[in-house]
Amino acid sequence: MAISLGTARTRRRRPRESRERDGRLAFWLVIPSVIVLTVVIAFPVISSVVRSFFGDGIGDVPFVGFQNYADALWGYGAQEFWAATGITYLFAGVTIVLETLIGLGMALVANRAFRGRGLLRASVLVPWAIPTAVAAVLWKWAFDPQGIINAITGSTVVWTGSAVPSIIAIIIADTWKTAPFVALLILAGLQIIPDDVYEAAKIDGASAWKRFWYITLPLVRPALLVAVLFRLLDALRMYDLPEIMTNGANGTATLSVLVVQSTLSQLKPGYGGALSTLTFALIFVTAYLFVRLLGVNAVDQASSGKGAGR
Amino acid sequence: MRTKKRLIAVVTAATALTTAALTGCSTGASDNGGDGTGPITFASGKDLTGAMPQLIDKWNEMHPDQKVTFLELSASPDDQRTSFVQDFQAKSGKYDVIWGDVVWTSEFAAHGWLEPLDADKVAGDDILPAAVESATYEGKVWAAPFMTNAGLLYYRSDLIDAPPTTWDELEADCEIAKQNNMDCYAGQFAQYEGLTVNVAEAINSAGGAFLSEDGTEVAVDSPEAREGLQHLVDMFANGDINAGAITYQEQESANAFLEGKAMFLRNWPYVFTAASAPDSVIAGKFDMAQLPGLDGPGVSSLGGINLGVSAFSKNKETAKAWVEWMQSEDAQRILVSVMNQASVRTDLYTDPDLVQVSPYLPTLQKAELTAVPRPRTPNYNAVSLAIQKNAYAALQGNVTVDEAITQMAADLEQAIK
Amino acid sequence: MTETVTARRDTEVPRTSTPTPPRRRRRFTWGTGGLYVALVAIGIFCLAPFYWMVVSSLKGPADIFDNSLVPLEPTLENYAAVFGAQNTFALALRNSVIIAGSVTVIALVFGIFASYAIARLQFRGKNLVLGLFLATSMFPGVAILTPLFQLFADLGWIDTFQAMIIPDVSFSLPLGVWILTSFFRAMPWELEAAARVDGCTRGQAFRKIILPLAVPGVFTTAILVFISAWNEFMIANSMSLTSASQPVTVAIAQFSGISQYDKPYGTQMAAGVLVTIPLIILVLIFQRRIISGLTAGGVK
Repeated sequence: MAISLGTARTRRRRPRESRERDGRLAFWLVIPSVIVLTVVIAFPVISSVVRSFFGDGIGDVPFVGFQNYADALWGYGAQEFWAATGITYLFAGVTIVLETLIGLGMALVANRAFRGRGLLRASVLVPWAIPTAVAAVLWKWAFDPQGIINAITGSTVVWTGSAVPSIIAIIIADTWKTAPFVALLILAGLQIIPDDVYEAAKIDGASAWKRFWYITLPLVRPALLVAVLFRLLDALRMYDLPEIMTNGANGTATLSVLVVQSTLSQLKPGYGGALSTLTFALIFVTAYLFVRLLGVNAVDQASSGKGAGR
Repeated sequence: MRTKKRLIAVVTAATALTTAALTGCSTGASDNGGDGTGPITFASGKDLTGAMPQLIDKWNEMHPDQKVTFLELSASPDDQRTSFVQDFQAKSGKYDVIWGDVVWTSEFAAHGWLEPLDADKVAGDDILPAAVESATYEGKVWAAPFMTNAGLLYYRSDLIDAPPTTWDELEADCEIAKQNNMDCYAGQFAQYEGLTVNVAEAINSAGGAFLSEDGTEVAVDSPEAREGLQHLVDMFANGDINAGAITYQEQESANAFLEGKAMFLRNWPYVFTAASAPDSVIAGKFDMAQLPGLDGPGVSSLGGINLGVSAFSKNKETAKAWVEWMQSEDAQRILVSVMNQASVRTDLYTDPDLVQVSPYLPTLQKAELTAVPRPRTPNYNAVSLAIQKNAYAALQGNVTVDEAITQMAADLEQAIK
Repeated sequence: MTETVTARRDTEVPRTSTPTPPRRRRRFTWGTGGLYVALVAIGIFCLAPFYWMVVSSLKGPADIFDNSLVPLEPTLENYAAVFGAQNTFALALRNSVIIAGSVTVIALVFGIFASYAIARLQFRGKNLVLGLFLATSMFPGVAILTPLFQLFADLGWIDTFQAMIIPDVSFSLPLGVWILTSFFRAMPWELEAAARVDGCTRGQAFRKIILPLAVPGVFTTAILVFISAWNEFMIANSMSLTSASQPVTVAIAQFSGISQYDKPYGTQMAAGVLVTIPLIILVLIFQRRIISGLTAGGVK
């Protein structure tokens, strides 16, 4: 996306000392966050990765190199690992698409002026505000063979007792819970779009659909992509819903469920660390492809701080 | 340029510092001299009876300088276990005595987290043998049995005169259930620990076993095990067990029985209280018996709690003395009469006062005398998961019993490695 | 597409030189009917399950599973049980407020600093920083749990607030920084430059001019961070031992029924309602801030 300048100001080359002052200031501004992240996340992750090169057991554990990774990728854990990978990506793909569409719709509506829009905005946030564990228990009971879903629809499907229905149930629960998150981020992005743009377009005779497609979407794209990107990261780490609704049964065990099983339940930090690192690698590659393909405007190479005219 | 270098420098420094902090000061349980007596902390599961403080107060009155602090954790065994494991791994010694589910003893002992106890003091003849077995690992006793539990068969005494003692009789009684438009049998069949319990009962009742006695060999690949699992699969297949029961945990199955929708229920003794409550639909219409087996009475899985002393405790002598006291007749009486739990002392099952409150005690004792603990192995969770996954697949009808048992054997091999 | 937009913007009057009239919202173009249909659909989507939660919380143990859409015998006993002797809920609420509040303030401050630097300043290592923020969101939470518990145990921080606040801040920072960065990029920086030419320091220019315009982004981030810290469970579960530091998520997980095997569904639903209502009120209070747009009136 090119940076076009709203006014005809040329970019001045900054003097070197100003750049250094910038650099120093930037350093001090950024460093608190960096320290927190390093201590809380980088350090435990590194220790977990290091641990993954050792075996599991009681007492002294041998150094096994990449054996844990081999076990997960093509050894005895392979079937479980790849099944979990498949279901994780299935959940992520379907829920992200649904949540983006629903979230976009909710944001567009919430953006409009009408009486009671404050209430609408608050209600939109309700699903996101409910603690995940409570929501998971709510949906679990709703999908019980004798629960409200079967009562209302008249079906007798044992939702959490077989493969496809449990997948559907989890997707429904997750979409309901998280569409507001996407909606809120898109709404924030919609706020930046000034009315004048729409006015000008209307004066030029553009229809509602054209305005949406050619103005709204491109201008909300940065916010939309950030929302989807972070949803992607969260979705690929989905844990609570499969764990509470089905205990990971019926093929709904996601990668995070496997990691928790190995690390906490079976006390195998070596294998669990390998699974966790592999999960990270998968997420990293996915996020990288996402950023690359969709051109999320992460860091402006040519940024001179003027972002007003995108 | 400078900024990037500086950033990298700080990140490296922070990581190095944190690593040093962590590896440097690992607080072990420093022996602080003394005689090992003093106040201790009892990390317990959630006290649902509300009466545990009463028990603890009794000790505290008698030993004011060795007070027990009652720390309540979650009601969920998984959360309790995570809490204990984290405390042990950090060697913090914050928990002196833990509320140990019977299946965790071998695991904690193997990791060196528990203090071995004197078998004469906590595992004597007055304690139920199966409970002692559950607290024993590699010949030593690692925890003091405190509470025990075994699965029982609840049945509608208004519909049948005598409870079934074999599986054939059970299936014959299912006819009566059908006539009354009820499900025949309810148990716990969701993919979780309760399924392991139910499957263990089925397989053990048919004469099979999961692992060898010492837990080092897989023993499930046998015709007996297949027969046991087949019994459950058949009941699902011919509708004696409701298809929805594949999602049942204890509460759902108890509800089915309490609402009069199921004729038989396999569950722990606690359902007695709700079933005989004044507003219960089935009050006075039910009774409890031992589980039926292949050719005769079946084998229940043993549940219960063993109190373990942390190897990192700073006041081990007090802790040991206290867990011994918790097994004493005084304490166990309160356990049964006030807290309505099952005692580990054999003689408290036939005491007339206690039987009056809980009439099922003699039946429970019979079940406990023949009960079998679940596999005792340090890798219990992996073993349980292997059992759950394969049994669940068989119950759903996705694999045959033969395939399920074969795969279970392979998974168990992997689990106990 | 971009070209079209850019071209249009070149023809419009620059925002800075004309005081625009009070914001007129776009008129209903789908027709009022379409809008109300959408409203109802959204309302049902978001609130139906919550309604079910409220209804369940008002049912006693006898009819909790009877699937009636309206409680047959409404009772407040679940709510009483939440605050009852066995569940120290009021304390948990206090703890949650402290934790979530601190996390929000700290994460906002750190996040605003970092985003300003990334959006506005020139320095090498921007990619590294943004990449670091993103990468730390790629690890399954459980991967950091045990080493972190070990670290905090050694520091004697188990059962303290900081053991939960610090990890929660680090979970919220990446998203916060990305949101704020994209907001700051969209700011009219020429205003800031003009203010500095007039003698303001960077800080003053930032506080007085940029920050007020970034309010939607800041409040959106604040609400998201607050809710996510309020609802965080895994870290809190491990780091808090007693009711002195346990937040509501842990307290709810510890609710118990009459026996070990009874899941206290009614009480959990009641607690869920109690825990969600403050958040909704917060959103209602601050929702104006989320949507207040770039009113040109903020210009000198």
